[in-house]
Amino acid sequence: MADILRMPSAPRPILSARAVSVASAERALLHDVDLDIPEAGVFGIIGPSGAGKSTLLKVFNRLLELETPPLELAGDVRFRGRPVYGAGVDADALRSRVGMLFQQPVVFPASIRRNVLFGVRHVERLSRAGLEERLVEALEGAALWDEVADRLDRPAVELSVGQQQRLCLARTLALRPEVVLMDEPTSALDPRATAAIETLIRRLADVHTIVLVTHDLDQARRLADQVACVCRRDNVGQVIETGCCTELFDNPRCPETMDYLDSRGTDQ
Amino acid sequence: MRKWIDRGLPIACAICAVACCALLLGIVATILARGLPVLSGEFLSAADGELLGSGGIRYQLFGTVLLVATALAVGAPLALGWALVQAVWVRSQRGRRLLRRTLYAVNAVPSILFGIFGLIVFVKYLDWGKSWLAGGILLGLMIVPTIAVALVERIEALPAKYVRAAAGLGLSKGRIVTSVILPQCWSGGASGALIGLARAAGETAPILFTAAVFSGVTVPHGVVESPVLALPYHIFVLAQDSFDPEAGAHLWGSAFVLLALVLALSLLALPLRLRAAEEAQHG
Ligand SMILES: Nc1ncnc2c1ncn2[C@@H]1O[C@H](COP(=O)(O)OP(=O)(O)OP(=O)(O)O)[C@@H](O)[C@H]1O
Ligand SMILES: [Mg+2]
Repeated sequence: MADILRMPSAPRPILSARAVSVASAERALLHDVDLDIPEAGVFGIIGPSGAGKSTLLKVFNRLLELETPPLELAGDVRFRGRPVYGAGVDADALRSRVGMLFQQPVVFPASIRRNVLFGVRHVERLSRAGLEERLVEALEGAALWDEVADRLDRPAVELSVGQQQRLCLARTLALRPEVVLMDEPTSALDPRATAAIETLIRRLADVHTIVLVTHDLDQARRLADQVACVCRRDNVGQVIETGCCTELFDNPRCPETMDYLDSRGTDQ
Repeated sequence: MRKWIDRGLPIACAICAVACCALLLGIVATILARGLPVLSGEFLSAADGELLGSGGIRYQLFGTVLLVATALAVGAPLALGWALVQAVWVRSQRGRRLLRRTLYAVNAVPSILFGIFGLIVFVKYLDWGKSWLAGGILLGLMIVPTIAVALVERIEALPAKYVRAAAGLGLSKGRIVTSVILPQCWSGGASGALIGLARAAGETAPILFTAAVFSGVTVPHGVVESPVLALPYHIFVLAQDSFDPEAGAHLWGSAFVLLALVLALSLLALPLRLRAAEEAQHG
């Protein structure tokens, strides 16, 4: 199905999932997911709460493996055509190339500077000057440089939540990732901070692949080039359809999506 | 019925609390009243005299500090390793439960058994005779559970988001331990260590056959046949002879110093405890 709906111009996908299923000890969380995420642009993932969107996102950078108790994964996941899971794959290196932004900003109890360099300091061997350069590049990339340039050594927790979220983005960008997975990155933010992040997402999408999980259908409409809908069928999360935005929003092909769109429509 | 419970329960609790406080205060007051007059610069700095209970407690104090420091050097790394294995590397619930139960079981081992174990292993098998090192190792083993439990509690209270965020940046598990978990959790381990050391400082049983003698030694030079003097053992022996007024005074003075030492260690742990609680709330 995904093959039919794939955009004609799409070259080889940067991330792909084939027959991916995830299960906890008690029940199945995701069933038989097929997904191709093309390089560059914004790929939206929508779906009702608890459907398994965050779980799906964590499949791609192997953060799934950190869950305690462990979750069971089956199927084939690929990044640039190479298997993501399997013997000999360096999960840490993968995670530095497939970055992640969470629903709530997670800042470490340290200065702004240390936060931005938190990953890159350990992952790459950079000189002091190299780190400094990366710091500026990352903060500019996250549109935060002007606001924090004069207080880089202040504690990061002093920033507003919106700024903290951009700080987390800068921290990810400092690693020069190819993909950034974003799990409802604006749901904790006010409209102005949300607008700032949305502008950023569009800008980043020129060179990065953004996978954006969102609850907000308007946001998906505004930002996403393609959308996948994760729904719960028989109590298991499944990718019901993928397609380009207008197609999917105007003619939803499954009742789950329809219900979901309807309920979102009425409570807004 | 319900009314009785509502009224009776707080009263019963209050009685228990008051009894507890009274007992504790009684002990402290007794030791204070009898020990304080004995205390002087000379008492602390002079070596013990020829006669039972004469002179000062310089080498008893030194021995106790040496034992406690050794216990820390032995116990802290072991507890750190244990806590990290239990709270970070072992991921199955069963494995974690098993480790936790083992820790509590070790904690429940009577200290005299540690002493017997030391007698067999260090004194007899390794043929060390009485040695400060054997005593320090035994005390260190004894306080591993105290330190490890405190550390595990802190690590488990650390919000998972920090670990997730660090892993998402490509940090390896080892890096996450050194740059996320330990910086945010060390205070828990440190408070556990201080409380453990307070306990180790006062223990007599583990050092009875393995490390402590009553008199005739100063600073050990080496490991084999190199016992130390120690405050709790000193008190133990003096107490058997406390009909002698001179020995009695010495006894209470030593008791006072030991109490002060233990109290100081526990009080040092308090701000760390509070810090931990505060962080857990804001985390
Ligand atoms: N580690 C885990 N163990 C067991 N069940 C889990 C685990 N993680 C997630 N789940 C379950 O999987 C289902 C999907 O969770 P997930 O967080 O992926 O949903 P979501 O679509 O992101 O929801 P939301 O929009 O509310 O964030 C939920 O029912 C959740 O309870
Ligand atoms: Mg989610």
